Amino acid sequence: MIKALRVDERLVHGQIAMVWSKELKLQGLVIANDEVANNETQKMALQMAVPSTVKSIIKDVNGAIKLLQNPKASEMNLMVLVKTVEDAVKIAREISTIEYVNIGNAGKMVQAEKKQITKYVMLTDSEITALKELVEVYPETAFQAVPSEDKVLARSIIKDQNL
Amino acid sequence: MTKIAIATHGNFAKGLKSTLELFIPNEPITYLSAYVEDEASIDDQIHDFFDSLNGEAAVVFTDLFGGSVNQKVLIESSGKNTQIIAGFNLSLVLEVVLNKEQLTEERLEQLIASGREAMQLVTPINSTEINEEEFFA
Repeated sequence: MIKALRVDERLVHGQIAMVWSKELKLQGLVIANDEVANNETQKMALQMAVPSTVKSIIKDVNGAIKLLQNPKASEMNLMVLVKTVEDAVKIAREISTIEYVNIGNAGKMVQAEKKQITKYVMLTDSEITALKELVEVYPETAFQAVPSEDKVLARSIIKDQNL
Repeated sequence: MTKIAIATHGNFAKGLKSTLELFIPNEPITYLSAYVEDEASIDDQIHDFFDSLNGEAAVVFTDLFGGSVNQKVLIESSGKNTQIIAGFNLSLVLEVVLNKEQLTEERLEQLIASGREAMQLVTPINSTEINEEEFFA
């Protein structure tokens, strides 16, 4: 089953490899990013970060959606990683069986006008629009960097910060 | 629950605290920094930690095997249900804190082995792509 769809601009990194993979007992990581899927160096660096007990596959976003539509996806503990909220929306619209939609780290590396939403998340206007769409599809979407942190519902953030 | 302390020369422990916040915020870890101005003496810090145990088990990480911090922890831990790990790295601390099994000596040895493996020369690897079939196999 798809344990989580996570927005994380660092994709596979320490928090995923050391913390989330244990917490969710992950068996597979699906990395969905159009740019990375076509960049051998980035692919290599990400694969290096995947724990040896977890399988990984790197696809462009459409390829990842196709992969997740495979019935076998329900037989494995999977986490899907995307860099942007926009990509998360694309996947969320097509895949209805995600247990937890999570916003982890976003926007630090984005060079554009952006708004600080939480300590670890900054969003541009278009990403804020995407966040609202994401909440429509998955109302329980929550901000949470690591499992031991409290979840903060995205819909409360949208409301409280007048986004 | 096993209590955890990290004891180092200077502010290494404090720096580690800031690092661990990114991975395991809210974990009740005690940080002990030796020979730092404006801090209680390391002897007092170690003593206070062991006093706070009230009979509970503890794991103490120290930075350097044989170093004075390690020696002081060893001496003070006498008669307490304590395991000391010298020469830790970040990976090992995370493995121990996130461990859900009982922290027996055998279990700690396993975690230390895995922490050692995490320290490695990094060289480019060949991208080992698997297809959908292999992924779901």
